[in-house]
Amino acid sequence: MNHDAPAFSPRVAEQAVHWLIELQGGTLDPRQQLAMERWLQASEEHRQAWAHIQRVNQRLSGLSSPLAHATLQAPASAGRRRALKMLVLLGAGSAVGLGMHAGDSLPPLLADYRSPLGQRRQMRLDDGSRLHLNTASAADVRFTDGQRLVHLLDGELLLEVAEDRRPLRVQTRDGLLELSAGRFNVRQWPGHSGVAVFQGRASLDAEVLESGHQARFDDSGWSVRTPLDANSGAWVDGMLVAAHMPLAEFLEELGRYRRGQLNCDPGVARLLVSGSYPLADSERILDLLEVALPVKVKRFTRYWVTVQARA
Amino acid sequence: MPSAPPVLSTSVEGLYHAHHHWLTGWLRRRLGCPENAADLAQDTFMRLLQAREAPAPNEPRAFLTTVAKRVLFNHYRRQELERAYLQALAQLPEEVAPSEEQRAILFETLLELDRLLDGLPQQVKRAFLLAQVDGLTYNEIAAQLGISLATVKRHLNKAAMRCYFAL
Repeated sequence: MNHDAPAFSPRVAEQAVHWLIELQGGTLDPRQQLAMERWLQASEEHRQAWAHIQRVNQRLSGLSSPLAHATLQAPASAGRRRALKMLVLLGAGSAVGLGMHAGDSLPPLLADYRSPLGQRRQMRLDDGSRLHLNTASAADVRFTDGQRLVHLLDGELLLEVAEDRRPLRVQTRDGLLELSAGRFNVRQWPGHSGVAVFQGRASLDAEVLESGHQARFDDSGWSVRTPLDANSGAWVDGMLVAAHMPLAEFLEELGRYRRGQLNCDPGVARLLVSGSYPLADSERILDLLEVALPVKVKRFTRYWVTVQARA
Repeated sequence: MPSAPPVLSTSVEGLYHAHHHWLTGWLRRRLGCPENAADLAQDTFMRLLQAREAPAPNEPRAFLTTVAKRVLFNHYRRQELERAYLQALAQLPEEVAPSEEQRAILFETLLELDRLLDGLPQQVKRAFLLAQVDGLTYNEIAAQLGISLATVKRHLNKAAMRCYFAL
C-alpha cells in the first residue's frame, strides 16, 4: 500500500519534535522563540513537519482519556508472550527485508474517518453535508472559517454537499477540486483520481465539469471526460452495476470489497458483464458469473480465487 | 489486488499453492481455532503480495513461518487491546461514552497509536498520553509518574519521534 504517509527527513523530524517538547514545556524565552520562528521560516519542509504534528495532536486531544490509557496499557497475554518469544528466538531477519516491522505499511496516520475493507460508512458533517466512505477508505475533514476541506487519503467517497457560504474543496493525491452544492463521487486510483458529478458542478483550476459527467484528473488537469457511468456511486446503495464491463475490470472492482486474492485468467479477461449485483454477497456474485458467462470459478481456498475459461 | 506486479504475484502464487495448507495447519496448532488460522494464513500471504521485492526464499516454510509469526503477534496484540478497550468502555458513564459510530474509529485510532508506540516502555507511553491526550503540564506528569522533569522530556521526545514520524 502506498499511502502518502508523511515522509520527512529524520533530521527535520528531530528538530520539529525538539521544538514541540520545548514549546509545550512553556519554557521558551524570547530568544528561543525567535529561533523557533526562524526555524519555521527556513523551509517548507519544516513548516509541513510542524503542521503534521499539529494535526496529529488535534486528533490525539480528541481521544477519550480513560479509553486511551486503558487500551494502550493492555497487559500482554500468554499467547502474545509466546509469539514474541518465537519471534526473538528466530530473529525476524528475513521479514525485516520485506519492510514489515513496526507499522507494516502505515495507514493514513490517524485519519478522521475510515472504513474497513468490505464496509461502508456514512456521517453527517458540521455544515449538514453527508459523507459516505466506500470500502477501505480514509478521509480527513477540516472545516475552518474560510473553507470546508475534505482530504481523501485513500479509497473512495461520495459527498452530498450542503449549501454554505464557504467553498467546499476535496483534496486527493492528484489535485484540489472545488465542489458546488450537489452530489459527487470522488475516487483515488493508483496513478490518478476520478470524480463523477451527479448534481452540481466540480472545478479543477477553474475548469468546470458539469452535472451528468465524470472525468479523471491528475497533475495536468482533466482527462477522459465521459457521461456518467451506471456504476458510479452505486456502491452507496450496496450495488455493483456493470454495463458491458470487461470481466477483468469487474473482478477488480469486486476484489475491493473482499479479503483475499481474486484473479482473472487472461483468456477470459475481455468477456463482458452486465447487470446489478449486491455487494453484500460477493460469493454469490461469483456463482452468478458461472451462470452468465462461459467461465469457471476455481476456489483454491476461499481467499485465493481464480476465474478462468470453462473447460 | 490484481494491481500487484505480475512477477511478484506469480512467485507468491507458487508459495501459496505449495504451502498454504501446511501454513494453515501450522497456525491452527498455535491458535487452536480453524477460522482464525485461515484468516491469518491469508494475512501472511497478503503481506507477501504487498511487499516491494518478490520473496524467493531458499527455505520457503521457514520463511513463511517467520512472516506468519509477525502476523500472529499482531493478532494477539489486537485481541489484548480489544479486551482492554471494551472493559474500559463498559466502565465509562453513559454521558461520556462515545457513540456507536465513534467507537469503531476510536478503536482503530488507538490500535494505530499502539502500533506506532510499540516496544516503548510503559512509562514512556503513559507520559506521552498524559501530555497529548490529557494535556497535563510536564510538572504534573513528573509528579504523577514520580520521575524527574528531565526524564519526562526524554520520554516525550522518544514517543513523539515514533508517533509523528514513525522513527
